[in-house]
Amino acid sequence: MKKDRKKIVFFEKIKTVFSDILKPYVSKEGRTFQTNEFKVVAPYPFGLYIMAILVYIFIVAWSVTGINVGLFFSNLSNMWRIIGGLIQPNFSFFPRMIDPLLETIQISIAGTVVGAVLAVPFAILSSSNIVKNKFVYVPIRFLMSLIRTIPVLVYAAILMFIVGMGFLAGSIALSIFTFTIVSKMLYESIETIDMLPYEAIESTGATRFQALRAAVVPQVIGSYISIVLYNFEINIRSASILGFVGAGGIGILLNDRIGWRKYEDVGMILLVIFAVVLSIESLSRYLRRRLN
Amino acid sequence: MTKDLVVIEAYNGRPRTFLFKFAIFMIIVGLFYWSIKDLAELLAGISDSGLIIARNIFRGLINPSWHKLWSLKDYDVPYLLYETVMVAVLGTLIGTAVAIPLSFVGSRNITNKYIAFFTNVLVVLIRTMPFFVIGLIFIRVVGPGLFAGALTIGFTSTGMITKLYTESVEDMDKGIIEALDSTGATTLQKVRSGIMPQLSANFISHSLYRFDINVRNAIILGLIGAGRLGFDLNAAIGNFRYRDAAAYLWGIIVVVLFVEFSSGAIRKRIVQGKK
Repeated sequence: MKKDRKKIVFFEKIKTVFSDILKPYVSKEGRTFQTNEFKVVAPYPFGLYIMAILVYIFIVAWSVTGINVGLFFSNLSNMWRIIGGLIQPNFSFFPRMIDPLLETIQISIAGTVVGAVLAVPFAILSSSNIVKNKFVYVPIRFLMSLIRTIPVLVYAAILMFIVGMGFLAGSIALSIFTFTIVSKMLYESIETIDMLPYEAIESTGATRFQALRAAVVPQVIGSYISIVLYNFEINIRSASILGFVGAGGIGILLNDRIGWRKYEDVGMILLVIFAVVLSIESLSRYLRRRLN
Repeated sequence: MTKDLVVIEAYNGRPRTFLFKFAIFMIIVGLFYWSIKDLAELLAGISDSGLIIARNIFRGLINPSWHKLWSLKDYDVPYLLYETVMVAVLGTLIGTAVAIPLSFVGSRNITNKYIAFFTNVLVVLIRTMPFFVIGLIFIRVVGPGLFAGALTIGFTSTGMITKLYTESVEDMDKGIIEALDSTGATTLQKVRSGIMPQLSANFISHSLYRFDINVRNAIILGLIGAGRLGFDLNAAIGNFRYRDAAAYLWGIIVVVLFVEFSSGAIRKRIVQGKK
């Protein structure tokens, strides 16, 4: 009770201080400026309120999170030791990394291919210019966005209990993720295509499937490949950390090395992941640029 | 008649890319086969208990434990979600606060070329480090908990926010600042009316975009102990409390959808400048 009173008094004080400072800016007279010919009224300073709300949220978040700056600075020497290990990679560790690294790439290829193939029918079903029935595409889109909200690592953590540790959990998790993202991006690109060829072909008596094959596929195949390659880039990044929840790949080794505090080995793994991610990204960017 | 011939000629002269397409297709199939060649063995390894778990999770999703979803106690879903969002908020604010000076230092049109290059290399290094690694390092430094999560999110978002901000700063029109210079404006006035109006919309939009990602990351960080929601979810499945696990999943779905929708709406409004 006493604390509450104190709080209220504190807020009152802050309010008076703020209103003293802000009055010349907030009131209409304060915002009006006289030039030689005309009066100018500056717009109402909403920014100040937004700033105040942000500061308040920051304080709340600070207290909820239990920030302890003292602890951070007193343990900073730990961090310097870790960083010191990371920047001197242990090159002799490389042979042990090759198998997990290949597994990481396998996981991302399997996840990307399965997800990308599964995404095609769902993308077609959820594009409003091909399926004109609202009761079909709206529920499908909604379901897809529900599936998309769960992060890929949460899927991996759940799948670990279902299919066991290792390759399968990771690749299923990645294929779920790829499936949702590819189908969303693909239906967005299907919706932007020119529908006249489709209608023209349908009017010649072709079935809907034939019209789809002849009019829609050529228009979206380029963006489909580019979307899949982009997803492959994301997946290779995700696959390298899937192992932290036990779902296969190089993350298992990374987690293990961090557990043993072998930061030189961790540095080496990070270096190799960096190189692999960078080379796959530049390859896929090159291919995507060629496509466009 | 002649018209038909032209059409047929054009059709016969169409690009013959069949072999090329076939080769690419075979490469993809080969890579895919290489990736899943142990699949049969792996599928055989799935035990019946795994299928039972899957079925129970689905059942739980239809009927989650409602008391976990609605009560406001310390260990129930709403409070955990609140905590997670707060961690994301704090991380985004830390990231933004660090990114604003870094992005000015890293823009080639403001600082010297070499300093900008050095800063950008640093930012790329931050961006490429997997965030679980950073999370575990911070757990080593400050112990498991939300604090480690907030630090991790702050650190990792610094990389991406700085990159996006640097792009905005490099696109900035410096003519306005020169014009203000000619009117005799002080440095503070130049910042207030020359720089802030140009950059604030983009900056807020980029930060909100990152906030959207950070909420998901804050959930995931729980899996390694830097946050409670992910940790509790994992523990719930591990202890066969499927209905509780489903309650956490529903909480995640609702919060992520809400944040995605609202940040998207605000960003659209800010960037398009509608009031």
